[in-house]
Amino acid sequence: MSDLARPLAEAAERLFARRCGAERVNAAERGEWPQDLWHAVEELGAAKLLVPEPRGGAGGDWQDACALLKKAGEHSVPLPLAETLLAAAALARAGMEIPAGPLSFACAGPQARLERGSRGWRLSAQLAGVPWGAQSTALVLALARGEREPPLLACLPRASFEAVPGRALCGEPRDAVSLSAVEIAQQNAAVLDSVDALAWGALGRAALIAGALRRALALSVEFSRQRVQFGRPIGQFQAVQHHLAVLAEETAAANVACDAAAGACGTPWELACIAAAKTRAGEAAGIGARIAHQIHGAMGITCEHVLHQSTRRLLTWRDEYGAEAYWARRLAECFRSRGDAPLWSLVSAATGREAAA
Amino acid sequence: MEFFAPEFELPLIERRTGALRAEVRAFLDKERAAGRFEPRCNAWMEGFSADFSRRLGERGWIGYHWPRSYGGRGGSAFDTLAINEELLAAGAPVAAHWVAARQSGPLLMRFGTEAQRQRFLPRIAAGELYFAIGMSEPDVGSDLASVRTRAEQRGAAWILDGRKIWSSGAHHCHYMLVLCRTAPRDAGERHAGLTQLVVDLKARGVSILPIRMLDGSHHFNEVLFEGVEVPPDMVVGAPGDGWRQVTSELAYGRSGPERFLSTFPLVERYLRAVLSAGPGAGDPAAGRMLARLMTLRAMSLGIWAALGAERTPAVEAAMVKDLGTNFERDTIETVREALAADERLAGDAALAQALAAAIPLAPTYTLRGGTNEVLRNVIAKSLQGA
Repeated sequence: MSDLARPLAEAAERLFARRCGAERVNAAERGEWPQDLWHAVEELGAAKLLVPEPRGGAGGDWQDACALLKKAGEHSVPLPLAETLLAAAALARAGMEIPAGPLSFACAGPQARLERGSRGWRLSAQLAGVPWGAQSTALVLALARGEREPPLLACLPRASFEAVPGRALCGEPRDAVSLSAVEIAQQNAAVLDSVDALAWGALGRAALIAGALRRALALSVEFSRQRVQFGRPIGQFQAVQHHLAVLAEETAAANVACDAAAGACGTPWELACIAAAKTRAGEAAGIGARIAHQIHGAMGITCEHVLHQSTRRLLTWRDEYGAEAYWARRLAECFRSRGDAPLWSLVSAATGREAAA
Repeated sequence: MEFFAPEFELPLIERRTGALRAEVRAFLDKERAAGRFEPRCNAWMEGFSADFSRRLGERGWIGYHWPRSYGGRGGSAFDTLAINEELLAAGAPVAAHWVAARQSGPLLMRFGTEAQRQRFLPRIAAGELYFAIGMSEPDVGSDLASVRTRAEQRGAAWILDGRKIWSSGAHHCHYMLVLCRTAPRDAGERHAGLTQLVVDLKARGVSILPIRMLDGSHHFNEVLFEGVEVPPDMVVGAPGDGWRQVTSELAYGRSGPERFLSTFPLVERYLRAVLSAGPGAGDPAAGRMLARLMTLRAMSLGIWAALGAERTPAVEAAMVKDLGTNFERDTIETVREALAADERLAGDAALAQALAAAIPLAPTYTLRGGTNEVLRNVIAKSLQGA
């Protein structure tokens, strides 16, 4: 862990443990925006964590970001933390202004129509499932422009688009955003060189998943300690113990895959490691949610029990910014592009970080 | 202790390790080109070659991180890991020395006398001396504390009686590290009264009986000890300390990359074919395999780092072994399905042959070194704070 990651994760743990209990999450899912929690998160420096210090950020790296997002995932923090953090990082990378407040972050492909406008660009698009689209002060959108041209990053102030609120299974806002011939001023768009915005989003989701799995595991261990059947806690049954063990393994795998990807950021293996992390974390999310529910029995599918806050998020996050099949395909493509070197030499190079000489 | 904080801190690897890796890879390429070995799955169990082990020993590639005074090269633990990974990835015939280098040597290094270290370690490192595992017995598999093989002191020597089973390669080995009972069983202290002895497999009273595998091949043995005289200087550590020691030995045995690389020659052949052929509908299956492989490799590095820091990552090793051996089993299924469904692999006879060769002994992957069920018990107990 870096110098920043540990204290940041500890501060986040204290904050979320105190201020982000089950009631808070439920209230947010009913539509209450937790403004004071958002303020506390901003004070933590979380929103501008990946923004360089000269630009007013914390100058953190991906290991710091993953450490923070794991905590957010663990506590089901009902805020666009990952989105704001990624949007701010992308804006900083593109040399653009970073608006205050919560930001939304999305990617758009060929469905968006981008034209040269009178003062910059003109954009039309219908976007589904935009996280916190309505609640954000701005939507930061990475626009793919085909094979030849690098993507364009656009910062769209909230007033410039329509957003119909919606909610995904996770209970967080996933809104339908409609942009009709929105004029984008020159200073609100820039070429996004050497950044795969979708990959950034994927790594953010992988970190959230890793954290949520940890929570699902903790709840499962606790439940199996307390729930008594046939005269003893169900955690004493080997069948249940084996479920717990596999859940722990999946949790560990998702966490390590994330750490490996965070460590590879900025190296030639960044994309491959992120692809592996999202694929593996997505796989773990599915297995983990299933096991956690199996252990909790009927209790776990009730509104009253807190488990669903984690499992609904696991099942939503694994599909966002590319599901397993998508990233598995990209991963194969990453290796294909390396030519016909012996496979182990590629795998070991991708996963083993060398110390600087 | 914080709830569930497994140690998988990812290490930085020194550059010279990369140079060593390249050297080993070049050597393996040459050996293969010269026809000295054919890559095969599970070669750390099925690939016996005294000649190959000796050639590795000559290069210093067995126990590379051991001190020079014991035949090592004083390298880092990651140097040895790099060498082992390359050997496994190439499917090289390393079965002869594997157990000795992986667990018997390290055990002697940690608990043995100076005389034992001097006597055994340099020859293990030279690839000349092989050890067999002496844990399981006909009625004692996963529950090791119930071993019945016993040794009694007669004068200075120990007299050993009993039998060990599933001893891979014992018919080639020079010694066995035998876990035996040296004090009567105490129901209250199940783990007390156990001792580890180094037993010369050529000694009078030792008989080695082959147990054929389901495909007719010979790796397993049953080893009988009938009044075998074991000199007092062959006791490892203190009599009665056997349980603590064998737990360490198991951790060495469970922590290595062979727990997810047993089928790598098959994986390599499959992925190479898929990747060379250009994009196709079978890419997600290949990518999933890569994602799992990369994650296991990262976890394995974390374990190795913990071992290098003199910690015993027993629970982490159990997790990786369960995940890794299930991955090995799944690679076989993935290749099998791809051969039928991925048109890029149509007519790949070499791949089909590699698959067929991997199937018979694949059930051993999730059994050896502690069944996966026992590993899951270990993991669950640690989660429950027992």
